[in-house]
Amino acid sequence: MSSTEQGTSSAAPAEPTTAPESAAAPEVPESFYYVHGKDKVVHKVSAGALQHSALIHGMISNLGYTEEQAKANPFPFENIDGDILQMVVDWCNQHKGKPTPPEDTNLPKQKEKLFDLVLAVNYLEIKELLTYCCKQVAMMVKGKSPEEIREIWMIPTDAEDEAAEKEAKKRAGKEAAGETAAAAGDAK
Amino acid sequence: MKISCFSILMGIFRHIFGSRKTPKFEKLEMEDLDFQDFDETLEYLEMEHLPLEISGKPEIPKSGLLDMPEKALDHIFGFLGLREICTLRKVNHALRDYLTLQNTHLNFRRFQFSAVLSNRWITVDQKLDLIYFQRENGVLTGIQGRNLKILEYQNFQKLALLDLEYFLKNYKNSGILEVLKFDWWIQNSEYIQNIDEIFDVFQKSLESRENCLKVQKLSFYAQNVPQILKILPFLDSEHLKTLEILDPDFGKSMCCQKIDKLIVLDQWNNLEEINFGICVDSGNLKDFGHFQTGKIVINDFIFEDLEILKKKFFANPEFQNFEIRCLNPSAQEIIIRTWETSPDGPKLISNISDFKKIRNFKNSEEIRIRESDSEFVITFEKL
Repeated sequence: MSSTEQGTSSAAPAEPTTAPESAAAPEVPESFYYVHGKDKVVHKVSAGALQHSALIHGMISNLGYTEEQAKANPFPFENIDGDILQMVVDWCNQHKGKPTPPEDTNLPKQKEKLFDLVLAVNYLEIKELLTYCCKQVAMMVKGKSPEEIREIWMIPTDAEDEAAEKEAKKRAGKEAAGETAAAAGDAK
Repeated sequence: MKISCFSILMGIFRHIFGSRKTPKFEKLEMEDLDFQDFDETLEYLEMEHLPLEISGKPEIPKSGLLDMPEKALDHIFGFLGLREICTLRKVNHALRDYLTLQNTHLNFRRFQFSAVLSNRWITVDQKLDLIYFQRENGVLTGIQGRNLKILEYQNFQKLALLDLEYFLKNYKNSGILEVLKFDWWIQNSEYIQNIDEIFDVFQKSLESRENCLKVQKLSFYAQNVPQILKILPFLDSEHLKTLEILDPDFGKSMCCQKIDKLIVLDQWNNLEEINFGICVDSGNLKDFGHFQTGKIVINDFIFEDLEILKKKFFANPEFQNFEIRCLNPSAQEIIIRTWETSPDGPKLISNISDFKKIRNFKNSEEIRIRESDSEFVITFEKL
């Protein structure tokens, strides 16, 4: 998942998607925050649901935003694909205020999506979801041969690794040479 | 595999910040962030209609597992058993290096390293056989019975030693290994060089552990005391109860070993059982008196030393039996003559073909002597 450059979130945020509300109506009005991913689709999430994310929880705990302020300042996660962020938001909403079950079977089966989810969840510091995802990634290779594991986990062969390393060195050398030439040109 | 560090960028309008009380932020690292400053800055950004931007950049790759952050990888590998970890170590160099550097805590009961010519094996708990067989185009390696793979341009010994080091270093500190074995026997001079290298890796791996490896029974082939000293001193002395040193030359070498450097070790003095298959120097005979049970090979001995040893054995309430195989048959005559003439000596109680003589000192203490053309064996036994 490539991260996009910053500086675009000053634009008006897209309409929030409907976030699943908690079934039990709290006595004290719940505060909500807004997040968006690479696709700029804004998700409304309750503070209770966001508690799963140590990163976001740490950020909002001292903000004291009003509903309006929160709406105007959605947390931008430009490096997370929209569909992945949606999964994360859904999971946080589903498990809001509930003890997390020992297993979670609703994780993506497609390995690319699962890997992206691991990265997003790791970044957002959602401990329980990270555990489920990592367990699912680990289970993918149970009983598999080294070659099968290499394919499943998209691990390069030693030869590919060496070739990539050589290529990187070559590129770095070229860049260094270019910089030296530019510096020499500047000096003139 | 870098852990992404995130930063919070709050605008780049330095010229505006410069004229305010608000701290100047171009880039804030999370650990530097004081929430008082954070609130103040947020107020400011709101007032100025500036955007709040969070640039996480967790280096999210579109590539494979090895591009995941370490925390996630540790989590993933934490769900895998020893069998999977061993298979993973054969996937590629980078993964093997990564797993080697991780602080893993392996747990198993029995571990055996075997070396025969161009083949190496690691056997864990007698059910997981990792093989390293030299082939023309590389090393055939993996778990025997499945998952075998040729690693091209690799050396069988190097690969096996990497795994040996991994297992010994990462065996969990609280675990107790029931048996640690190293099997090999003499083939040729090149092979001996490889064996020395293996002993060096044993020493390096055991020495580098935070806590001494706890082993109950240590069993390995060794030609000499320096080889024994590559392993024995680095094991936990309280847990090691049995030592088995086997002769890789199967008795062909008559060179006897002085064990003075062994008898000073706590590991030696806490042992209860010994099987010392290489010939011990006769001067060290007295140093076996604390064993409850054992077998040794000796070239010759002084009769007085045998008497001292006998006293030590039978004075030990835990003593069970001890066998001394003497490679000099003529020494038998001295024993028999001396004991027969002694008033406290053993009495002949039977004379059969297998145990030529059986003599006993007291009802509960028996000494058996068995002889052949090339050697004789004295067995002390508490009944």
